[in-house]
Amino acid sequence: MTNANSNRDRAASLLAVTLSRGQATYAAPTDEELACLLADNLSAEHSTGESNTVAYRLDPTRKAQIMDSIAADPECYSRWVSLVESADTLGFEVFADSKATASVKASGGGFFSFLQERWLSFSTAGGGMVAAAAVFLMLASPGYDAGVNDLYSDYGTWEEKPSKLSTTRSLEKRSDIVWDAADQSVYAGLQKGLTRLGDEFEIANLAKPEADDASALSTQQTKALEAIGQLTAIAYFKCSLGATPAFFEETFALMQSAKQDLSTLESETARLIHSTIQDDVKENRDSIAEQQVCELSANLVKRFRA
Amino acid sequence: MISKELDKNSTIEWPSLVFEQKFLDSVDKLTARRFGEGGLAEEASTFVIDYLSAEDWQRCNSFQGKASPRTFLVSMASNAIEEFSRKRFGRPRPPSWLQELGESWIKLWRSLCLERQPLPAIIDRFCEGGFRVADEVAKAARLIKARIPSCGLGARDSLDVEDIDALSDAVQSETSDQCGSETPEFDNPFHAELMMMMRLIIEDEPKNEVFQPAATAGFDDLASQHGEKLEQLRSALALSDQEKIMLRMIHVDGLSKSATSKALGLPAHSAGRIVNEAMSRIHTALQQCGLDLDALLESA
Repeated sequence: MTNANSNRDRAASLLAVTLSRGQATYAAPTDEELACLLADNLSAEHSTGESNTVAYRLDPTRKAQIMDSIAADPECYSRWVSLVESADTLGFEVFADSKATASVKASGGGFFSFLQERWLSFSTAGGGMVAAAAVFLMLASPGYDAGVNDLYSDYGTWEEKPSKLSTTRSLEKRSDIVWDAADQSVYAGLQKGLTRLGDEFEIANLAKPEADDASALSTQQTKALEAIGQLTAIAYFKCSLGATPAFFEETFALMQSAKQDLSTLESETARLIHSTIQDDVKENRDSIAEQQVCELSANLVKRFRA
Repeated sequence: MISKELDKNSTIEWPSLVFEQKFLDSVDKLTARRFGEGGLAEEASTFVIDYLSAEDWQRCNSFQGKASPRTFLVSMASNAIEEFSRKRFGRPRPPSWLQELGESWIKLWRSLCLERQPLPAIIDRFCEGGFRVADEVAKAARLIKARIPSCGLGARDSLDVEDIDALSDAVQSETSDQCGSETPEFDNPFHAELMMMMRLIIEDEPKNEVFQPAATAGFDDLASQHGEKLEQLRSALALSDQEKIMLRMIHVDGLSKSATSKALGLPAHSAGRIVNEAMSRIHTALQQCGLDLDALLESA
């Protein structure tokens, strides 16, 4: 999006939200209710299956009332944004607190011990809560088309396109590559992405992979690989021509999501994706996102160089 | 599914929760994000603990058991940090034009003008993890400085203050210059100020001329010409609460789509689509009401 367009949208948004702001209809939410709303939004599941397990969750009616207050009341909105920023600082997964025991005793020791144990498991690599939160943070729903479409819609233009960009990075083909069905799906997505980008963008000397068993993939795996192929196409050029952190963050999130459907796939390409795109990135997320997106796009393209 | 609240007779050991290392580390992270690493952040962290524990944990006893205790404490800590800033650097009321633009702008103004933090460090912290876009924060800072030339200037510079309440009283008189002049007086305040804000928000290099009397008259004229159509637009707009919140978070406050999506419980990619659809309907409504956005922005 050009700067002029984004400025127009900002002005139009300001106009719209200011004109639309009515009076808050309901009682302003407490800070605790705002925290509950955020936790509710971030939590993947709300379960009361376990004994002594209570789900903290807002009543849907009250949740709607709180959203009304945030939209209508500037002070409430300010508190909301402050809380969101705090959650971002600490990691959104900290707020994805959908479960806690209700074993609060008068002495208090039991509750504290529970929390201590829970936080210890939360911080352990591979702990269930970490994995659950990490999965939720990614796009859980396999709506890859919509996600990729949005990405191309938001970032698939350049203010200054190259006159003809055949390849921007020098890659050497590995001679030991054996293609499989996964490569075919990625390649299909790659070609689709290049078509979307337009004639100015071309990656020269690509060979279409041949594989014996094209039916080895499930429908979901095929979709995930094609999505990664499309993401590879746009990322390949963004990594050379430059892009905003937001682009890399969104691409990274989509790649993290897609790889979840490839967890059982025995394939060199799937292993490449899994080894490159990490799951639980908290620190320096923006730089890691760019690094891993660019690394994966380069290595995937390298697989098809003739 | 209806939530269950903790038994009201249950007792939470707040000291145990607050003084646990993980929570203390969380407080340090929050204060470092707000004030940068250093003595001020440490001072703020101490204030937060004092704030929570004041009067036998009175503030914590407002907990109703709806959220988890930890998220409740974090929300309380967030409030405490801003209270620290107000006590430490004063409580001047932000100019109305700044309040209209929202929380990120107010926080930026406080960081820049009252707390006198260096701009590069502010940008780094505001945009940490891609939470905001650096260019937008820089642009907002330019606007604030253009409007408030004395922003960040001041004789007082003390970090070692034991009595923060005494300091709070002392700084009140020193901070009035950090507000800038009040918003110009318009004949049609609501619409004219809105026109002015729209103009300001698109300027890459904002200048103080926008606030001068000559420009003021222009915004008033604009408001008079288009007031009726603006009211028609108000009726024509049919934005959901979620859309209003997202438009403000993304387009006005400059938060990333990723963070906005997460906070509202939406899939990572959907913020762009939802906002684009809302923008499309806004532009349609503008056309239906006979309002030319470009003309509004250029003719002021």
